[in-house]
Amino acid sequence: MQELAICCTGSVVKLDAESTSDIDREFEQRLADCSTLAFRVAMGVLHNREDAEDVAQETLLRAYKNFYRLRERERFRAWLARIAWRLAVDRWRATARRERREVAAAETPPSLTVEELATRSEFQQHLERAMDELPEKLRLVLILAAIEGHNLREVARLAGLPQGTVKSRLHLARKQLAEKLKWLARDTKLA
Amino acid sequence: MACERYKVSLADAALGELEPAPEAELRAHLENCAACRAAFDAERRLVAAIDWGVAASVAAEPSPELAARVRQRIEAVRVPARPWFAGSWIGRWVPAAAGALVVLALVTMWLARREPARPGTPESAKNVPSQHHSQSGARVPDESVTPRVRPVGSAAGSRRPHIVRKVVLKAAEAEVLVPPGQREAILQLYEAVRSRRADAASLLAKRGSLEPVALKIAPLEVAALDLDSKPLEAASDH
Repeated sequence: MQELAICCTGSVVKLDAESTSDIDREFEQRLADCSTLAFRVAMGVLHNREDAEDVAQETLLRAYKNFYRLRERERFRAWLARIAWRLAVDRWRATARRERREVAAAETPPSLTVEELATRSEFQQHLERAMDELPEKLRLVLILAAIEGHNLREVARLAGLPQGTVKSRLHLARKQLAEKLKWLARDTKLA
Repeated sequence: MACERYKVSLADAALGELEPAPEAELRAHLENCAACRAAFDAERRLVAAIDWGVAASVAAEPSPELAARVRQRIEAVRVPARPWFAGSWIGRWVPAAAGALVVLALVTMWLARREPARPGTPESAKNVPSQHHSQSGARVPDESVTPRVRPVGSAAGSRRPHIVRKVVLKAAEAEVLVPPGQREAILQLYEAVRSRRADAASLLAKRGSLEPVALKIAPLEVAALDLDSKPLEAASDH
């Protein structure tokens, strides 16, 4: 059994073999609780299941590797959400660059499968494109607020921002989306 | 004209971000304006669709294999055992402290090489004239050993010419340098004076006055040169 050093609330605790298994169990519990959060953050950015799963895996692996550095365990979800966000945005940027290079003239993103195209509504596709065009700081609060119905306080804690900032950014994000998609409302496609 | 005034607040109201007073005013206007009411309804549907769509985009569940795959990858890159101070301030300062200690050790070694030998150290013992203790305990330099005082700048002594100069002897261990062959005689004299078998004062009196006596040097007598003799070169040939 390996030996891990875990920092708890600012103090250093040396763990013997038995408590190391406790730590493994603790991370296992967090893995079960938070893997969905990591996946959904990635999904909100990437809109693609396979890519989101890859990012979620990478996120959880990084979290495991750096778990001992996390002094405040109660911030694990926020910490994980930010890792997932950063990895997802990096992946999204790389994918966007590649797609622009390879299929500049394509009507729909090539990462979507035939099944996904068939099941997605036109509005959803437009919405996701509009989300992709949002500034990152607006997109982050929009996605975090959408996940599991987080309220402003929870989004603020996850994003590490003041609540007032979250509120104004969330408002701005929704407003920009509404302006981008207003033409859909005018065409009464949402009636 | 009145509708233009409410155009901006329609969007904010649809987003639920309008302040209570302007919202009440807008509601009152919507009661009497069918066009604005239709626009507001469309705006509200749009916002609702956006909220629903954003939530739907993140509502997907990960596949059941996700956790298993993560565990598999964790097993492959399991964190190696870390020292207890890893991640703490101690862990961050240990490398710096180790580096400082190494530098300190090097500086100390360098200074030690430059520092003169002190009495009592093996190095100083090598450079002090060897001594032996007489039966009475008096320390007299061994006459068979030449003191290792080397002239400054000599090839052999250029490395540490100051070593012997810095040796400090205690007053109780005063040494006497004696001419070769007179060591035993001096020792016997010393013992006699010390045991009062001989009177030092009378010995000194026998020696006479210590006042310096002017040397009497007879003038040199130089024979007159014979200038008529053979030249030196010719003489040296023979």
